Amino acid sequence: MRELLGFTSILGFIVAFLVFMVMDPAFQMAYICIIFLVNLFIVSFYGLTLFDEKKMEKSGKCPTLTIIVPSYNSEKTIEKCLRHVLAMKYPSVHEVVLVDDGSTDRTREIAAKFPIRIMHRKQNKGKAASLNEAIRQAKGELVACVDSDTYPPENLLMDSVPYITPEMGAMTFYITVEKPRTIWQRMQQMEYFFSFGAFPYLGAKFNAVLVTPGPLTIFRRSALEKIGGFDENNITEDFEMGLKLHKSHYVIGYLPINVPTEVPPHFAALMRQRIRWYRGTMFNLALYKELMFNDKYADVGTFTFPVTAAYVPITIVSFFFVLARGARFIYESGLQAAQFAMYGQMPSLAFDPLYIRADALMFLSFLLTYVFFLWISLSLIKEKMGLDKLPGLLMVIFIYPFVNAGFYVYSLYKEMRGSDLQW
Amino acid sequence: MVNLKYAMAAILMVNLFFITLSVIDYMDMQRLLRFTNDLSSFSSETADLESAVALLRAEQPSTEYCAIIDTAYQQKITKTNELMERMLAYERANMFAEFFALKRQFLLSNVQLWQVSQMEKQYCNAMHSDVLYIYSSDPSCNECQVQGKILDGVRASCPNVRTFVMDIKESMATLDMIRLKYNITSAPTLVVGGKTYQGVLPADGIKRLVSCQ
Repeated sequence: MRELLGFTSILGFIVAFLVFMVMDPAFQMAYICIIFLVNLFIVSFYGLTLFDEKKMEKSGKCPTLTIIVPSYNSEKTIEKCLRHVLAMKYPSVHEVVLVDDGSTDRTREIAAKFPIRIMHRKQNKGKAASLNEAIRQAKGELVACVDSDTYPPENLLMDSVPYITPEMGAMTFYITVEKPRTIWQRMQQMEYFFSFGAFPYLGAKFNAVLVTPGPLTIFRRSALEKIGGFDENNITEDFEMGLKLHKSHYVIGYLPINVPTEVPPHFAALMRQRIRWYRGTMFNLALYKELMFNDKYADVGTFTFPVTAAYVPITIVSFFFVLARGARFIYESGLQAAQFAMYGQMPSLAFDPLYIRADALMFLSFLLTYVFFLWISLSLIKEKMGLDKLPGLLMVIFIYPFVNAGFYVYSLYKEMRGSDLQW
Repeated sequence: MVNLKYAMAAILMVNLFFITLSVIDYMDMQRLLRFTNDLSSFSSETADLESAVALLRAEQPSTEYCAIIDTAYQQKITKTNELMERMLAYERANMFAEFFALKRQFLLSNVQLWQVSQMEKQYCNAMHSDVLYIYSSDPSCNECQVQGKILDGVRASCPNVRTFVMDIKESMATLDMIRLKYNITSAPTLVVGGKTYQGVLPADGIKRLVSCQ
């Protein structure tokens, strides 16, 4: 049965590719216009909230807090992480708990040097299980879950906890990339600016932050207990947690406080991470489909959830659109080159800079709005757009969309096929 | 309250969409405006040459007349090529503007010019060779683009060659008659010295036909 579904999805991919291959230019233009309209609506919606003056209320209370650091084979980052965690200023940290999820390297040894409680688990059961076990034993009113490769700033708790209101189930932050070195990390740095910057910042104004990022989120323990903690069988427990909180009508807050984290350095690692994310996205969207167009959940039901869901098919179909157009271009120029070779004349490589197609202009205008949101994102954490960020920006504009869409396609195939989920 | 927000976003979306379309349309129109201006002067010069050749036919052919026509023609020849290249590029790039009326005007002038050039050759013992290149505007006609590039090369190396274009898919009385007269059924086709050559002709073949100088 699963084999059949996998085969069907491949068949669907081929059909999509062939349809776009032979598509009339007028229909191509219509497709581009539709995608353009959808994007414009999303951008307009977010853009309008720019003018929403929603002041965050400061309660000024500092309830007790437990910090949980789940870790598995993280000897390279754990020391720096724990130093940052312990340096955080807060009057009533109840305790810092490190859950060692059956590491086979020196993680425990390094962690033992710090004044923290270590929970050792013999068997590796995954992040969600580690968190759940630590949450069950936690005593703090709030629970901060910090990944073992994340370096929270010193003032994080003092600047954020007073803003956590009683109806808030979780508080999320501006996750950024720690010291990007490889080109893939530079690309992710720019991408994180978009996805953890202006969009959740504006989304928080209409309570539409869908994800509680794994690297660092502060939860209300009573909320976690009420909804039954993390789903241990879920591959992207952070997305599932966000949806679950919304389903129980909790608010997810957001503050633009910069929290650096380590990101995958190579393409292969990035691909593994993204396949996990996107499979989780598809799986959880299907799991929580009752949120779709459900006005019980306000803007989450009528805007954010449908938009997130709509983006999955749009990305996948657009992948084949671009692929088919690229293939056509290569096919035609290849045919031409072959014929030129036959008649003893090579094609010239002359390029007319003024030759801009209308669809290219359309994407250009959309790009401008994205640059606007990037500018907002950077101003939130007072970062400047320097020359060092240029390679990442170029990657994120010209390479990332296509690569990312490819990951989506592969994830869909794997999800249909029902391959084993893994970290 | 919620609905108002969505309505505003929808209004903003429509506005942004039309602003973008207008910008694209404006840029298209600007390109076409330049092309229209050049094309109208091109057409009037073609008419000028036509009437000059008509005079030539009425009187006894004289070398002074031929010299005047030849000079006028030399001035036009680069412009024809430039216009032709721009026309082909616009044909691919335009999305909104009505380009086809201009294209018909250009093709008609081109064929008129070809006839003028032939007459000049007939009455003045001129040394040039006329090549009428029948192409297809169908983007899948790769041979047409190959033949076009080959003709560019031939024109660059042989100054005595004059090339003219005709779209096989365009239907006009003059073009239809030429198609019938030379028995043209497919693209690419070349008409050189009253003879029809179907399919792609390599550069050497064309050079032999036109006695390249």
